[in-house]
Amino acid sequence: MRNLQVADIILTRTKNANWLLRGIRNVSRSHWNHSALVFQVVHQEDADPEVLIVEALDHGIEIHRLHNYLDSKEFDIGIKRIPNLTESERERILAYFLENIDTPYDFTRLFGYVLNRAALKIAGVRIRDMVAQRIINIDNFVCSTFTQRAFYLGVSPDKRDRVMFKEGADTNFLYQLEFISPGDIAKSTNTDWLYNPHE
Amino acid sequence: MTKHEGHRHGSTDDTQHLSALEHAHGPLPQLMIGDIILVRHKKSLIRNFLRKITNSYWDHAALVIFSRNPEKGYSSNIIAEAIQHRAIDAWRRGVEVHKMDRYLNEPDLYDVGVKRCMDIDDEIRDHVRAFTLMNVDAPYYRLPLADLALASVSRVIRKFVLKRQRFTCSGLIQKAYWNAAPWERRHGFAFRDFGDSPIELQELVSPGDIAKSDVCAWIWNRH
Repeated sequence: MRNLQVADIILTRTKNANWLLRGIRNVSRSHWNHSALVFQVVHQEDADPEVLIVEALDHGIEIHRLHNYLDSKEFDIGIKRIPNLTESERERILAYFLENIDTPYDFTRLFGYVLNRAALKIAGVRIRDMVAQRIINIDNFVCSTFTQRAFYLGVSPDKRDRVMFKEGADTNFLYQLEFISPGDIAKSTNTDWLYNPHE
Repeated sequence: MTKHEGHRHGSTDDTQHLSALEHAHGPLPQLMIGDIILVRHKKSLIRNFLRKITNSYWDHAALVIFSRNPEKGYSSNIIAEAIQHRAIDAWRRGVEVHKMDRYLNEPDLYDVGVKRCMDIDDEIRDHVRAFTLMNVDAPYYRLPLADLALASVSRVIRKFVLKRQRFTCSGLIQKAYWNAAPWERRHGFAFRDFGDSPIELQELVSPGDIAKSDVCAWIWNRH
């Protein structure tokens, strides 16, 4: 943890997960159900640094200690990093965190994701466009869309394609920004694993 | 201008974006890391008791940990504060980071004042912020409603309660300055009379003590 930097990505898995977290893992076929970002690394003279993370939780965008996850047997954590971020890019990402503290959690987006999944399973139709245009609120976030947006707006425009977690020919821009799961971050080839790799 | 001062200019654009409380009290000056935010909750029984027993207009305190800097991309001051959300243990949260706007935009619920410790350099400000950040998620000390209610009507009980009540919001600020200051200057950052031991001082200081203290000066909405 000593070498963590602002904007490193924290992935977490809740061991005794509720139906929603299990659903996120199942749908994204991933070990992980939540993502957060390193907000600050506070160095101390005679102890390990205190790492603070920023994450979208049910109260909105909040700052907490990484130790909340590390000290609990409830969680497994993994750490990834987008390589070659410059100091000024990290500063812009930090500014983005600060600008968005207290932004509400987008519960309607979760409902939209569930609806999209149900329509696909039951009727075999994709309603992602309808969900994207009518249900989700692009000014609010779930954990992984906050993570994606921070990188997208934090780097210079010519580098944006190198910080997108979702790639592929059938993936349009809206899906890349707004239909992201912790599993997409875990599987992204634009990020490097620092700790505990699991897709 | 020090590195912790931002870039708020009195432009037309700024005046158009004044918060509700700024419309009432005038534009907020450019804040700095370590500035102390005093808050009055207008619709809270427990805060009412607290103000009564501490004999102060204010009942809550917070610290600026990032001052607004639109040029860098953030337009709000960010504060850290020790909060008790509810009387029930499970809902008690502790030290949290929020935008100061949450208070400035709700004039029916809050009043806000700002004080600043003068004659401190960027190094002390950095240490104040670091100490505060290291205490994010630290739990809140219990604030028993019954004790405060009794203390607000009885002088004897008030004396007893004030002797042991931890005002964690202001305690966080006192501890941050106490730990940030060089050893030989620490007593200069005591927000209440130095009759207490340093440990007592750090625990027992109230928002009212900070409001009345000469250690910091009013820079906005003096009460």
